[in-house]
Amino acid sequence: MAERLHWKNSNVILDNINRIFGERAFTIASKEILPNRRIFGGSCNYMSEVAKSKCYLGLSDTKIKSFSNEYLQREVVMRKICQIITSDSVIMNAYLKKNGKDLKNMYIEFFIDSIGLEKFIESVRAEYGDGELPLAQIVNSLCRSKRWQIYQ
Amino acid sequence: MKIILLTFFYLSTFAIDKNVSIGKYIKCYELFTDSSIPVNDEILMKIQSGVIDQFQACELLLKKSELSENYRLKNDKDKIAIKVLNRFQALHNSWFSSYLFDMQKDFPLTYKLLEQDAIATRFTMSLFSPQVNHSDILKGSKVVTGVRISSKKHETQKTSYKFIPIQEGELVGFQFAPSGINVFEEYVDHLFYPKKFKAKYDTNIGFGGGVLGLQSYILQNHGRVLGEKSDGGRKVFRKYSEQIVKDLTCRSLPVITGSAIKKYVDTKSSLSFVKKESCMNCHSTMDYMAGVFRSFEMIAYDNSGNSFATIYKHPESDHLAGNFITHETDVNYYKKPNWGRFIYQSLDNTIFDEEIRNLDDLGTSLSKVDEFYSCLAYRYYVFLTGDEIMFNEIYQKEKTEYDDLRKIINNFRKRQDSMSLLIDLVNSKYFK
Repeated sequence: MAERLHWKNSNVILDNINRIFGERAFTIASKEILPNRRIFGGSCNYMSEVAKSKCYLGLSDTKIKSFSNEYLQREVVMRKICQIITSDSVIMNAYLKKNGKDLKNMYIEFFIDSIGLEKFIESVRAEYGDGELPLAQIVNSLCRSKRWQIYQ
Repeated sequence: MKIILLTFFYLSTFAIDKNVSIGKYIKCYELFTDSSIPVNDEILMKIQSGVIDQFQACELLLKKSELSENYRLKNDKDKIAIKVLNRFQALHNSWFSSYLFDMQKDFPLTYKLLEQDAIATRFTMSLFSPQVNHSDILKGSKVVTGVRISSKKHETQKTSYKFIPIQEGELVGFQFAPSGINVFEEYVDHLFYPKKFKAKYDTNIGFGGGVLGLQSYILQNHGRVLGEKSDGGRKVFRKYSEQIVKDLTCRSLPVITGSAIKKYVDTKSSLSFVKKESCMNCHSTMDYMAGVFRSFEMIAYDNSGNSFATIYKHPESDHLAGNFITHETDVNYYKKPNWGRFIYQSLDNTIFDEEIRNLDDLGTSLSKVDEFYSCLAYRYYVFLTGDEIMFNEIYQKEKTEYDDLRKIINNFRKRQDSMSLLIDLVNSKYFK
């Protein structure tokens, strides 16, 4: 039996973007994700005046199931978000200030654990050797990767 | 370059070691808080320093939100405990599809008076309170409301009449809604041609059977119109019966077919659906259950446009006792003593055909149905695994992959403890 992927929902994705890239990126991502909650899954809380603002379509957003397997549309939205975020110099400067140009830091920032880290570094070095790395492009690839968006 | 990196990430998705030391806890954290894990998370550090393992960590995270004897969070200053409590409240609320109070635009204050997530509240309270059994969800007439913290001041609503509105804010516990503070003495039964009636009613009181008698839940699901009284024929609260089956047993009608319903078919009835067995497959369950909702009527305080709607329960008139379910139009039907039958065949093939005289009786009958327990287990299973199996699959013995799940459900039914159920699922082979 093929193993199903268990995707993280809108709330968890947004919170991860906030943790990794900060508030500016969170605002950008919210504009794309909150109107598309059903693609990502994850409901909002209408009883809290703070959380209510995240109910983009009002009360009906309280009934969205906790996850969604609609990955094709999700990928389109995530591709757009990652492109905007990694093209934004304010966000990227803050990100690089936090992580330096260290591939390990960048990797762990997304995935928390270091499983697959060595292979990641090897694949980057195989492509660029010891030369200057196109960091925005690498971060964009990390951002778009499925691995941090699914439960392992 | 892009192709190489994306290929790497695609492959790495499937190449991950399932026995990572923190992966399971990260999953627990993100699922149970609906947020990303901070690197300095206290429990995460305990795992990393070898003090506890991941299973213990997941349990510890859930137990952070345990409620005290007065149903408040024991750790009410702990932000993670608050997050977990609120996350499960939102999860439970997402299970019950109805979210609009009937005629919400005409009666906007209903949202100030009744909690739209009231049914979820009972599930969350049962999960985090060691004192509350799962079957308690179907008992009693007390209404449970959330205790919420907010920066906003909690004020009496200023309208032509006074009432205490529900609390908004982050959930930190529960309380039994105090009766006597939102009591009203008149109502109308129509939006455009209202007649005014004098009668006392309290919006903080349920009608019995725990969640079954919540004014909030009935108002979201009753399917009748303002001021309409049940007549025992076409007009009964059958949509409400149907929703109860769906919400509390994860099943859709018909839930009973074949010879068991033949006695409910009446070829002499003036109602076409009563004459046909195929119709009565559903109508027997719906209409006979609705016998205990017969005295309910949707009412509104007034038709000013700044008012609320709710459910009024007409007093029973004993002298009208007699033929309880006529399946014919009877203008006095709603005044007659509540009486109905719980007609249901569970997926373990137990047939229920029990007399019920009120909502507590209905709750007792429902709590004997296996699906009342397996439905909750199924919902948590889907939540934890992302594996959207069909509910019926749990009962298919040939599906041996669910043997462990069936054992977990049996234990849950015996123990009645939904927290143990959740922990059993987290510790099972299904939560990889």
